[in-house]
Amino acid sequence: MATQPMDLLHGTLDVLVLRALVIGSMHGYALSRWIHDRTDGELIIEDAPLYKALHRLENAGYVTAEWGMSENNRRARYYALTGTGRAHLRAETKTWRRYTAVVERVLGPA
Amino acid sequence: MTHSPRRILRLPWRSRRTIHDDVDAELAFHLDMRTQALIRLGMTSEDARAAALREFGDLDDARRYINAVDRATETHHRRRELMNEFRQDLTYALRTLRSSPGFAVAVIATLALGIGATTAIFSIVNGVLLKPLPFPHPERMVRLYQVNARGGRESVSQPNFQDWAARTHSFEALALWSSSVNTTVLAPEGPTRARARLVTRDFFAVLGVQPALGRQFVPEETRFGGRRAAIISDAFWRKHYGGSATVLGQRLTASIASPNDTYEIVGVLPASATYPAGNDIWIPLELIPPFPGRTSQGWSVGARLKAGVSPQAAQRDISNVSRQLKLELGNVTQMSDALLIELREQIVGDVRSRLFVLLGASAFLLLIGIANAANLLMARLALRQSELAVRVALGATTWRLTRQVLAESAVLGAVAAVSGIAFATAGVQFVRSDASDMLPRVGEVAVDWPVLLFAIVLSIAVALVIGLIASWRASRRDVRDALSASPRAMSGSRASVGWRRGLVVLQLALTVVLLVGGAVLGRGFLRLLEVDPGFSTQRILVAEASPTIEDRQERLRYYNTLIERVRALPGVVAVGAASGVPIAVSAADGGFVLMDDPQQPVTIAAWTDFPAAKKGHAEYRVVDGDYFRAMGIPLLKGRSFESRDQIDAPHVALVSELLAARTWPGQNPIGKFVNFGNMDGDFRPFTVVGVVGDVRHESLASEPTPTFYAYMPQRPAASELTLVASTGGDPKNLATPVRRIVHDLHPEVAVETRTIEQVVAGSVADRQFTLFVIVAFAATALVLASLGVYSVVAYLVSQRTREIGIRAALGAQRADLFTLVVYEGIRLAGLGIVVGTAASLAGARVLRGLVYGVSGTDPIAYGIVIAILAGVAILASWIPARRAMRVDPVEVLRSA
Repeated sequence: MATQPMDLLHGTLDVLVLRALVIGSMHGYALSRWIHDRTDGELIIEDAPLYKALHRLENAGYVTAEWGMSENNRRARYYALTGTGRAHLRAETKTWRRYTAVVERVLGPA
Repeated sequence: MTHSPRRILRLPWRSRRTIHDDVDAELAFHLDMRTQALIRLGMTSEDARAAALREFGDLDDARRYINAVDRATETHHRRRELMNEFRQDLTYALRTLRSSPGFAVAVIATLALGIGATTAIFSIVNGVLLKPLPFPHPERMVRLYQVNARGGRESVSQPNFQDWAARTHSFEALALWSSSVNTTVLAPEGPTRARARLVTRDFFAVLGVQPALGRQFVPEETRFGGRRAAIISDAFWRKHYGGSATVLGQRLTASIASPNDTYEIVGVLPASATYPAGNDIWIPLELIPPFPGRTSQGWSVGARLKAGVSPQAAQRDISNVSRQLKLELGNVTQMSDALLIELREQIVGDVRSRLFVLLGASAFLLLIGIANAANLLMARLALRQSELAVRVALGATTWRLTRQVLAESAVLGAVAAVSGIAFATAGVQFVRSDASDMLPRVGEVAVDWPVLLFAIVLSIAVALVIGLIASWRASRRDVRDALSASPRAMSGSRASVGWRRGLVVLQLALTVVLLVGGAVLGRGFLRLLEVDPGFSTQRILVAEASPTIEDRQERLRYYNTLIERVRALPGVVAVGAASGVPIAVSAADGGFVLMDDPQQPVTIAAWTDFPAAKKGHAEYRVVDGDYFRAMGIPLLKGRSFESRDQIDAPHVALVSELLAARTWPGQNPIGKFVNFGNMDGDFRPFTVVGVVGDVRHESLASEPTPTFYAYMPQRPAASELTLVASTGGDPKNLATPVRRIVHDLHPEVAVETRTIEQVVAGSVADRQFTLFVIVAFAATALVLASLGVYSVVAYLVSQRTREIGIRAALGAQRADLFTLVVYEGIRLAGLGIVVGTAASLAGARVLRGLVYGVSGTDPIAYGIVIAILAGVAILASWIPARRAMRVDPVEVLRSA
């Protein structure tokens, strides 16, 4: 059953970005590919909102950024999770799980 | 809290430009990577680029958004970092200050005194001089005076006032009012003394105020024989009517326009608008018959300028009118010109110079405090030099060190500001309660917002100045030198010691100026107290107890009985009464005419018709009982009043020595005839029967005035008398019995008693206040300056311990070492004295213009000051000198 890719639910992008950074610091492009691979193209995630989210999270103190060298020797901006970012991710994940569980329960078996 | 790598590595801040470039680079990197990936999947480079852009979404929007967010992030980081550094500096400063509480307390006390003194004086200056008068458009309020042919300022007569009102064009309103009438008023709780004035109908238009309660006078009340109405002051209302609105319509009985009239209270003035200050009751002048004489002066006139008319223009206007009147009237009026003075000037003009002298003195005290604090701070930095050197070696910048010092001075300044403001508040409280009669507008003096702002700005400036002076010397190069040099040579640079010496000399010089000011004023004050006022200044009770008795016989009887009964009190030496008592109660003065023949009929016309040689001017006093003996005024020639001088006997008079000398130079005044009938309407001539000593009527500082004394039993028409009683004991003890006697005779009379000591002290209170403040400042300055001398000398001794030890080892006598150190203190004091004396002599020239009676070059005052300062400087170097004497040469040489 082929389905159309879904639009991203509001607010979920921040959580996805933070989750991606759990595996280690990475630049925006790598992060974009990681999310893309993980969602198998089932979610429509443009790159613009992704970068916006990164900078927003930096402003909030959840991630820090610094310039480094990429695998092909170009200057790239690397993002890393901060302590508060990690805590925030935990809290958001919990909320998300409760939310989906409730929605699941309401919908019941299809 | 995040610790960005930039914070840890101290990377430079990102500018707006850098942020912009960074964002572009980041986005370009992404698009390039994606494009290459797509090319690797087999797309053409153009298609790949287009696909990457498409996948990205709205690139421009993202770029704008990210730039904005990054800029916000940057600002946020900067602010936090500054806060952190500030907190660090502050924590560090607090820690170092806590570790040396003695130093902190010394600096804070020093600065708090200076800030407090300056703030207190500023609050007085602000309240008295700077705040606008509490009337609408106070700049348009003026006072008007007649000017006589000699250019002297005089009070105004009613006809002249009416001509001014009719002929000038500069004024919106003009009003005339009486001098203060001190009267007994029947208030709800019984008789009380109150001050009342008669005012013309436009009085409140001149003030520009409406009663806070009730209304102004209506035409029915401002005409001759109209309904009697009164407006009362806020203070009188609160004190006697409990601040209740039911006061309106109540009646009060008082003898203002005529004896024992009843007035309906129609209004209460707002508290701020009491004018003239201290007045309780205002009554329409129109109720009483007008005074038609052009020479019947004694009235005050005020006016409100029309909008847009300058005081100068109004002055020209009223001058023109007055000169024209002189041309028309000739000798009928004494007025040949008029003078306009702005109301503010009239109220505060006298105290302005005195307040500015005090403000200057407090500024000196503050400067001394600053020098002291900077000195202490520098001394401490010198002690901490090795610590600072280590910090520099670890990479602290000069700016960072300077900031550290500034943080310390900021903490010190902040605590000093709080203590100083508390100190100023206490001072202002004192001025308001205990110095209220020494200053006009004292009710306006308060530590309010402008004063607080002044104190805060002042404290910030002070903290900055001492911080900068101190950190100047702790600059990087000095510290580096210190680090490289051996610890013992680390004596602080020569320049730094020079600076500290300079600061101490500055302190000493300023102290000399304050001390000289105090000494000069103090000696002037003592001279004033030594002045012979012409009457006894001790053991006399002055009692104002004057009922309004219309019947002359009854009035005479009242004073007779009163004097007799008081004389019978134990301890009483002599009792008398007079219409005016020196300094305590003023009385009228006037012109008299000389008569060759006692039979010659004289009318009021004589006062204009007689030639100048047959006229004179004198204070006019009516006395009763044993007045001269009670007051200690000596009888110099002839006789005093006696019981035979009754109303039907020839009227006799005493004159003061000065009056005798001026009126009959080289002649015997006894037996001369004088007519003073214009004072009470009785034109029977006086025969001079005696001469008494001169008296200073106005104040100790004013010269004696020629005085004419009439006798109450012969001239009972005169006004109320004031009782004076001299006693062998404490005059205060007489107050209660006198009060009881008055109450027995006349239950409805309020009695006010003062001792002559209180009268005299009250008259010099304003000078005493100035003196007290200056002396307090000078004493504080002396303490601070001696602290300064001590700290510098002690510091030098500690630096020269080795040298002293070697000298001792080489056989120097202890006494020589002692002298060596004390000499250092004397050298500082000498320099300070030279500079300070020069400054005082220069300042005295200014002072002489400002403060009356200051010679400024009083050699004894200077001598005293120099002796005190030299003594204190020697004392201050005594302690370090003793320490130098105890230096053990063996110890010193071993530790070398």
